[in-house]
Amino acid sequence: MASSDFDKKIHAEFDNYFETNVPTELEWSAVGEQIQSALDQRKKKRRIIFWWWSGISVGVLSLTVLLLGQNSKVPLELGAFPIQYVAQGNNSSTIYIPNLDKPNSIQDVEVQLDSSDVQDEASSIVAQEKLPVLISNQEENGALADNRISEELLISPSKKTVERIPSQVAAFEALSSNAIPLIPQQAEQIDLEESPIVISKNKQWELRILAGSNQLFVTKNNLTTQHLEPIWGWQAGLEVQRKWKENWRIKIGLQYEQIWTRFRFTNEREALLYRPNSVDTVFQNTFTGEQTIIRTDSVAGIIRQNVQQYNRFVNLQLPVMLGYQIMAQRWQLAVFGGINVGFQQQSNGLFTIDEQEVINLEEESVYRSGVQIRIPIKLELAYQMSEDWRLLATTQIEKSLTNWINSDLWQAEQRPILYQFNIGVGYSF
Amino acid sequence: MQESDIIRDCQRQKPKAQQQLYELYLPYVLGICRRFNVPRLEIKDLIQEVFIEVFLNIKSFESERGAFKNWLKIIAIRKLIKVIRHHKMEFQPLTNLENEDSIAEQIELDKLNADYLIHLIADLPRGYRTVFNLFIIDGYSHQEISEMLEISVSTSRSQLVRARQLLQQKIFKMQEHGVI
Repeated sequence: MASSDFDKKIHAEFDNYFETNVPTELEWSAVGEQIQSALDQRKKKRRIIFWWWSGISVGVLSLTVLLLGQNSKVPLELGAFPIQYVAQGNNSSTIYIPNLDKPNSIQDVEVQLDSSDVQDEASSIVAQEKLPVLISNQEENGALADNRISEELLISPSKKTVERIPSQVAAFEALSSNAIPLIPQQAEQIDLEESPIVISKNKQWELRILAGSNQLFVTKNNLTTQHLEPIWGWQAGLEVQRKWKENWRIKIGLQYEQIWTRFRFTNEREALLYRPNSVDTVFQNTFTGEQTIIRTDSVAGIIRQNVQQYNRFVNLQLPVMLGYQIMAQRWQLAVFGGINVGFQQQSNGLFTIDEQEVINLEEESVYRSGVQIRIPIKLELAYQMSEDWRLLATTQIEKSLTNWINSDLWQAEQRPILYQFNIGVGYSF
Repeated sequence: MQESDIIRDCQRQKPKAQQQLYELYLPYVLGICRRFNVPRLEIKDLIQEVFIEVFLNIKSFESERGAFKNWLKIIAIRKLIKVIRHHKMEFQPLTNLENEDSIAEQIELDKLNADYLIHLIADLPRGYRTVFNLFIIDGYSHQEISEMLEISVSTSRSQLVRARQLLQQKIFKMQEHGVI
């Protein structure tokens, strides 16, 4: 018999070999529960790993976009003006936005020109679209730069005359510096009190500090023996925002949150109360009359009380968001969406209505922690106070993708929606 | 319920189907553990690990690419090798090969039966047993075995030859004494 025959025989015997003697300790009734719980844990772990990787990927992607976007020349678009026309062709670091409330008054000025000033209609229309600006650095060229006052030519179709419209900004500059005498009528019409907003083209970043209140919306409340009081808290955080393209913004933040839940048990419960330094026993010396007082931190005996339970959640979150911003003069409105990954710690305890702590009940004060992942949608309103500073008001709705710690125990929605309102300031740099 | 239905329900993560699949294939996995002679205390943990891995990854199983049993065996052996490698595996030097063919010729193949062969295989020294199982029964190549066990290909070959010889000697003795 060759070895190959022997090998083939062995292989054939064991290829479909099923052990007939199965020990009871390996039956499903003995191991099924352990397998199921292990499966749940692994799935949870996988989910957490997935979301962590998603969060990290979004973060890395955002950083990449930020870093790549730093070197690109992004045309600015501010207020209602098509600034991109201005931004093209010069490397100016500063752009002066004129007083937006006074354009009509300036356009009232009419100067008759001789025929040499008249250009063809097509070019005048193009000129009409151009936003007059004052170039602050010295890389200027052409007649516009030489004169320090930009002028646009416009043919009025009805009058068949040529209007000479001085640049609003140039006029403002001239007024400010008094370098060039202006037409008196024009000078009166320019309001010097309301200074223009000056926004640097290079200021792509913004640092924000925000703080506010929050409320947790529990939609599925199955409480039968308890009454759930409003769940609210506060949060504070920092955000770094980067301009991306014209209207897109990317931000990464760090936020600290505290959220409180409070249950009021509908029935009185037996409780051993914590009352610091309360008198427990008094001994009196029968000869001297001297009293010795033994103090304790608990109220003697178990009494029935209306007991409340608190849950305190402390979250440290890292939101990464992408948003679109629209602007109108000094106001900016933005909508953001993204992912918010962080850690959650929960502690809970019992206390009575008169704020005494309850001790030695079945629910003891405990601390637990876990990962918290949410999908936020944020609406943001900003007001440009000055060149660098902005006032901010934000509202945010976040849907939890992970269970809130212990939410199954307080018989409520395990992945609730968190609403936040924040106010703050932003600083451009 | 057919196996394909059970697998489909397992892919939908139905606990009842998981129980059915476990009960269906526990004897098979147990058979693998027995021939590799996994210590009794470690069998329970190993089997749990195997089925957890199966239930977690069963969505990736495609019946068109092969039988479920083979897919399960790959998972079981991968887990099993991890357990085996925790124990020190001694690979014996190659000696006494001269009588192999003469003994083999005297063995009556028709009388070979898995029920007692499994005990003989399980009694082989750990190194022999592991290589023999992987090569002869599970169909791994020497290259694959060398990578799995972190040994050289020549060691794998020599262990197989020695294991086969030892097993044949045992079978021959049993047949000689009329036990088989």
